[in-house]
Amino acid sequence: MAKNNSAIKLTSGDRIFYFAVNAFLIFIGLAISVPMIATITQSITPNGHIGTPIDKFILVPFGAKDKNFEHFQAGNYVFNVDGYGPIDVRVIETGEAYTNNDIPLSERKENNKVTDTLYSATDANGKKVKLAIREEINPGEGSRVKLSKFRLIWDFAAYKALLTNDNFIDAFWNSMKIMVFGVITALFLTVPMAYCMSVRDLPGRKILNYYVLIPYLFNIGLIPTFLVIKSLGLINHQAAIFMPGAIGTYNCLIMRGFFEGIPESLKESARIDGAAEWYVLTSIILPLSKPIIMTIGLYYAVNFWNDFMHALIYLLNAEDLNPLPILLRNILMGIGMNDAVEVNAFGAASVSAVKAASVFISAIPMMLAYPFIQKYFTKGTMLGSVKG
Amino acid sequence: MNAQETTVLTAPKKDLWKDIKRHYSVYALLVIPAVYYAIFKYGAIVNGQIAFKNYMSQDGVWGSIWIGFSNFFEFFNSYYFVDLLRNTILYSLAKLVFCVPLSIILSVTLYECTHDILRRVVQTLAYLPHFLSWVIMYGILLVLLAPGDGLINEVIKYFGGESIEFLTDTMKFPVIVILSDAWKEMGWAAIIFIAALMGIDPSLFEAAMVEGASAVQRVWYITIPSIKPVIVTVVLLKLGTVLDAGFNQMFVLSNPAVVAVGEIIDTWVYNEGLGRAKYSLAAAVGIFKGIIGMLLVMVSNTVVKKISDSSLL
Repeated sequence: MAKNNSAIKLTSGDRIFYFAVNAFLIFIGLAISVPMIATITQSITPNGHIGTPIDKFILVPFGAKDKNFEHFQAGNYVFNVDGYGPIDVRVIETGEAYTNNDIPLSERKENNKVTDTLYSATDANGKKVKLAIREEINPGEGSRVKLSKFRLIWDFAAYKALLTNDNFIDAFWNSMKIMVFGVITALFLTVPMAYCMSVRDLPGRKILNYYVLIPYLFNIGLIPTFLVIKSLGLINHQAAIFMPGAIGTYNCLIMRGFFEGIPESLKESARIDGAAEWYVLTSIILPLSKPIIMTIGLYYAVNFWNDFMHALIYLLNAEDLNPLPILLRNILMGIGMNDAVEVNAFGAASVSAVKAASVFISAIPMMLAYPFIQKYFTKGTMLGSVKG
Repeated sequence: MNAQETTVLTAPKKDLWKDIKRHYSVYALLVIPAVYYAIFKYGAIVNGQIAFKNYMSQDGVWGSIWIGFSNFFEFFNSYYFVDLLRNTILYSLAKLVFCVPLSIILSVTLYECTHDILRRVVQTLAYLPHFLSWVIMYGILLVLLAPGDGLINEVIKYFGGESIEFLTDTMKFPVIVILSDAWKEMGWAAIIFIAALMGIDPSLFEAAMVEGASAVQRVWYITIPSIKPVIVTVVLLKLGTVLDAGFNQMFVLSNPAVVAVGEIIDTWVYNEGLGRAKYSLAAAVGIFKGIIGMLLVMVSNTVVKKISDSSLL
């Protein structure tokens, strides 16, 4: 709620206060956004860069190509490379330049393509230059040297590698499946349960309440639930991921609260016409409940999409069934990679770029859904707290 | 109509049966969810008996031998019992002490902010991390804190320092746990306080301004006390779940170097119970946690009920 204080004279204390308020909010805004931006930045940082660390933070979408030494006269020059030492650069008439120094270079294996390694250096006059050095395919000439435009250019190699990787695509698809079936199952179970709990004069309503709330209050824990899933034969089946959480008791109670808030008269008028309860539910209650069902559905969707624990527990040796969080964790920890996901198959992209890119791709669905969530959740959370 | 049914002396059973028949379609609706509950929740509770048994896969739940409270004693006397409890409770309390005030400050500053754009941008940004999974969080933390090329270490190295091992140092790891949890949840937790702030009667503020109260005084004497019941409710409810401490976060962030400070009850149950197949022991620990948790929730719920008039039951 913005306060309009313009009509009232502000004391200096007030000015400091409002300054502090804005400063704090800016700080929070930065604190939240900087790590996320840093992740995106890292995912498009080109591989093979050995230069000052600060250069990594200055990325541009595109830049001019590296230049030859055209305006240098042919001859030998010495450049002092930061972090390495002096190298001899031999410029020939055509403007091409080579060095025979054994300076460390990054390698790219894919398709025999080689990359430039970027270095900061100073020339003999103390002027700072940037050198792009490449290992030439024909040895004897030495490594090819060019003058580089030193802004690192966006490199989407990590994204290309991930989006064409079968494991990654499978995991994304698995997460989708789990989320969709999970939400359908969850709503299919939660809505009737919540509705029946809200029927005012239902005989045994108290018993039903206890029936639902006791397991919520007394959480028996992981192992006994695991054994239930095991005895149902659902281990290594994706349904095991959403079944245990299909009726979230908290969500159920929110929905019950909403249903209790629906005027009794509406239900009565349907019942007088002799309608069965499920008809009352579908034709009268449900159309009115769209906001709460959307909200609760979104809560379930977020839960199932992000679910890590259930997949970890119940998918034991079924790699092709892994949802995205599991695969993402494997990528981040550099473990359990089977051949298709191995690091050197990513070739063009650095390991950290791949990690950052996988994080970003995993976050995209949630970020896309976020406007919808924002639209519904404040309404929904309020709705659920209305009790009859 | 039978004259007897209209008098007070009607036998209750007759009415009850009629009532049940009248609502039969409700019960029909209830069948499937109730069966689900029976299988997944009560079936699990029944399986809980293995805490008092020595569960062996080949014997199953029913065939395993009773050993009474042995599993519980084993747990209480173990060397890890104190560590687990300590880690779990300390993390929960530390998160509580750090995150709740932060959420309150965030909600109050959002409420007091006069720049519409700033407020909406920060609000949107603050809610967002809640919707990211902890695995994604871990990825973001790696980008920031990785020992070689993490952002923070790069900045440190640029200024001539040595890179710091954040995620593998037992002293720094808990700090990272608490800070990252605050980063992720502070916005979402602030929603409740923002909703409460919206409910404050504006005439209180007007009266204060007429009296010449400064902004700081207004916040300190009116705004915060007005949401005190909500604050207390939130704190009490969090205390009720003090033994939870966040499985997803602790599991994903933990690594062998920081096990001593990174293991909470839930991760231990997973590692020992499922990882090492010590089903009975882990089930016993789970039941212990469930009982304590239930007591805490019931106590805090009763206290909350006394303060405001809302409750779960």
